[in-house]
Amino acid sequence: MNRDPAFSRPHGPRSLMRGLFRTGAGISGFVIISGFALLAMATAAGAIGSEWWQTSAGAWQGPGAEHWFGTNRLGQDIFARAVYSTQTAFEVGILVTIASTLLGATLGGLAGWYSPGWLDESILWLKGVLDSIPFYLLIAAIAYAMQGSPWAMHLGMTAAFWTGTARLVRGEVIRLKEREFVAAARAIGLPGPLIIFRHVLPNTFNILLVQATLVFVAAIKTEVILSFLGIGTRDGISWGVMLAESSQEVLAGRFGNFLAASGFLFVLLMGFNLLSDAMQDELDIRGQTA
Amino acid sequence: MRSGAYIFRKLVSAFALLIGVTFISFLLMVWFGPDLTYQSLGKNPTADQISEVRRQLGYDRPFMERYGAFLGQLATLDLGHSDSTGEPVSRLMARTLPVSLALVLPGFLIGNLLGILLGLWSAWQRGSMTDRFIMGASVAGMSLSFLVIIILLQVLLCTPWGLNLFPARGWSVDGLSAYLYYATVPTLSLVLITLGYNTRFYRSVMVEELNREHIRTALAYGKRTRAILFTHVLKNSLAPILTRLLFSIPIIVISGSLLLESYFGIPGIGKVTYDAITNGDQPVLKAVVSLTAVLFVLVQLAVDLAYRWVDPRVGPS
Amino acid sequence: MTAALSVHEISVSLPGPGGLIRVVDQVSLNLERGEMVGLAGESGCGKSMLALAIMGLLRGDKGHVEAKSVALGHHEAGPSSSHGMVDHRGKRIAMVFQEPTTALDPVFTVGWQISAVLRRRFNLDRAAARDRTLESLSDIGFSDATDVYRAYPHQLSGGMRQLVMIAMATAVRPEVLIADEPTTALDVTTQQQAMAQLRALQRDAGTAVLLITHDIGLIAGSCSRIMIMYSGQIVESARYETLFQKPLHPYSAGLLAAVPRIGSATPVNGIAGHVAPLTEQRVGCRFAERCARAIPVCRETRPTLLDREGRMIACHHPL
Repeated sequence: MNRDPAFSRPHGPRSLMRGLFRTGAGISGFVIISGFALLAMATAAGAIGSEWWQTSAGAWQGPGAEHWFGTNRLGQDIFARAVYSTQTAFEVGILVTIASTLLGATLGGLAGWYSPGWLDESILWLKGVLDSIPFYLLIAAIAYAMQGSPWAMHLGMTAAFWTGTARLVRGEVIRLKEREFVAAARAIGLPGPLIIFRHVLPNTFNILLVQATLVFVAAIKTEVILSFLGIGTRDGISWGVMLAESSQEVLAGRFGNFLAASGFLFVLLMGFNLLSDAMQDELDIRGQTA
Repeated sequence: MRSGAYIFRKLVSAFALLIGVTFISFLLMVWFGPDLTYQSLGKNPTADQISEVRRQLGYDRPFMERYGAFLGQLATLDLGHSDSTGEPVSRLMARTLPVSLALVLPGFLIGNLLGILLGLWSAWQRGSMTDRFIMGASVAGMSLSFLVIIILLQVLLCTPWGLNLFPARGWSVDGLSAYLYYATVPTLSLVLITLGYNTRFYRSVMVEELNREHIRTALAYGKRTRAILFTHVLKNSLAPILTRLLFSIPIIVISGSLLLESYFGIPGIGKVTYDAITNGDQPVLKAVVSLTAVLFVLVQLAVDLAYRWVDPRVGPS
Repeated sequence: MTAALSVHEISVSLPGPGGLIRVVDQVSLNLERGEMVGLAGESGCGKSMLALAIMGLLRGDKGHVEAKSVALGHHEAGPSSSHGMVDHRGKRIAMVFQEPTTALDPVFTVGWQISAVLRRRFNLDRAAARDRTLESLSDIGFSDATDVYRAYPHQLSGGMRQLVMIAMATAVRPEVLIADEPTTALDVTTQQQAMAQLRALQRDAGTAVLLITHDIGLIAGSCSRIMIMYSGQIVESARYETLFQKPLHPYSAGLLAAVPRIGSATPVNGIAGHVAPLTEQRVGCRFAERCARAIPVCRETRPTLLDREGRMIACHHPL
């Protein structure tokens, strides 16, 4: 089975779209994500859920017409909080995905291009080191070192996630290095980094796309756990914060927070996973989950 | 001769890794770590008292010297005493490490065993309704946060709103039944969380194996399904299976235990580590860091050895 | 007497761009006990597909198989029967595959693999199976049977692996053996060893052998009958000497004429044109456009395999 991307059907964005829409999974995934993305933008624009922090209503109201999931300890509308959290989720997801993909592609590309060599070895070493430090310890340590900055978790996640992307890109670059178009570029004297960024990396686009979806999922899931541990979202609201609150509340029989947050979270993650699956099947690529 | 050079290279990279890990850990946990100066001082400390404490804690020394001291302590296994509780760190580790292992290992093993079996089954039936159901369930499993599963299980099994069969927190294990009592819900959570990922991974490995020509030969000579799956497919998949198992051990033991222990109030190494980070408890951190680094290096070595043992094509013939 | 293998109208269809394509088109054949029959044809004519279909090895996605009947002796084992070939494979029917490189499991020794097959076939214990395996390995010509037994496939050369596959098949002593290009990786001497082994099987166990090959010379040495296959159909079938002296189908004539003969001054002719891709399903005879003897009816109706003085021919305008 030939996995060489250059031998398989050329997948420009348009044919990729068409391919994805062929499966039920692809369509549902796409629809779900778009729905949530629109929601996130709507909340960012202040159109929905902007009253998430208001404590006007009474505490612990059950689900009803006015508050679909009821209210929490402070009398805040749980549904509005869940809706507003969409923005947090996308913010974390997008920032971490872009940062780790850029970092991973760059370092992976450089490592692969200058392989074998000291640059490759150093980058591999760095990857090995970061991979050996247990994930939550790394993020916790960074969070602590940054003295409670709200960007600590983004930075920590980026530092942990770039290695998976880099590993894939490095492998791909090493393979592509042998291809004719690279030999041609070299023959006419183009400098290494230029070849990497202008010619080689665009061929890794599909791989990066698949990996990006997986990183997005990982970022959102990680934020939930970090918020529970107290080193995630600090000022603001996210599903992680809501779940952290709910961990005590459910023991007292109050399920509003839990149901709202886990429901939203599950649907969005399913959307991403379905889309990611459809992409992987279509492009015949497997991503790296940690 | 090739073996000798190979081993040497492995040792060098292992050493480089250890240096890297300890450096970053030192950087994050000690250099940027919390300032403990004021913890042991009373109100209105004088400048002299402050500088005395700082000198004791070593804050006035330059970077490289402190890093060197850090390394030295690691190397000599001078683990010292916990800053927060005063307990000797070695005793702390000896007490908490077995707890974490007892907590995490069953879930890890069961999660992977089930993953392999489900992977085999869905690979054999690929394309069928069974396969699609298993894959669908796996995707759903992958879309659930660890926290969500833990809370859900806790509600369903440990509260009056559910079956109320198991405790919501705690760990006082003095025998098998007590162990089952406290470990079941955490184990179940671990299994459910990892099952989706495991099944998908193993399935894709098995499907690739099933597409190989020698499977057709086995079928041509009348080998039955069970024989094919459990001899030919399984043995050929051992390399990726072992790699995955070995590489996930450090992750599961340390990160997995972190969350489970914080949630269920179990006194294991994950919880201890987390507290140490937030409290800046250096001796404990040093111990955990060295443990992790060594564990990771051992795992790398184990994976290399495993490859040689499992695949007759690799290694000296 | 019941034929060892009798196949009635077996077809294999594969999904293609325009729908299902018939890569094997209603082929029927019989093998009597103890006879070796050659099946010749260019690559791509469907010989291997036919073999796999008879063996029942084409799973759903690899090909859709239909047949009126496929029987081993008295046992009906076609795709529509309750168990198909499953119970007979490795016992009554065996196959030697074309590609020896990947046909063996790389993580088990060669000896282990053959022993496993024999244990199932003859219900032997480990020691007895080992002995038989060693026996069959030395029978086929390995002087160091024990070394080969303990070897892993990647430690053997391509030719040795092919010999191992043949040894495995003959050790089973099946009623029917399908050999798909069994000698491609072998040099001339080993080729003779292998063929000698097949002939011994024929003689001693009464095995019916279907020898699939594009090498007419190989057939000449050992087969009593020959069938010619073109583009999914059997176009001619006769006793070897009869066909050789007087081929009836234009394609057979071309095929035989294309074999260089030592000492002959006759120039070697290829057959003009090439096998049309199966995606172009046309009515009429598939050979028509390459045929020098094509007449109008050839392009309209597909010729069926008819009995003519003891031989079978599917042609509207035979020689």
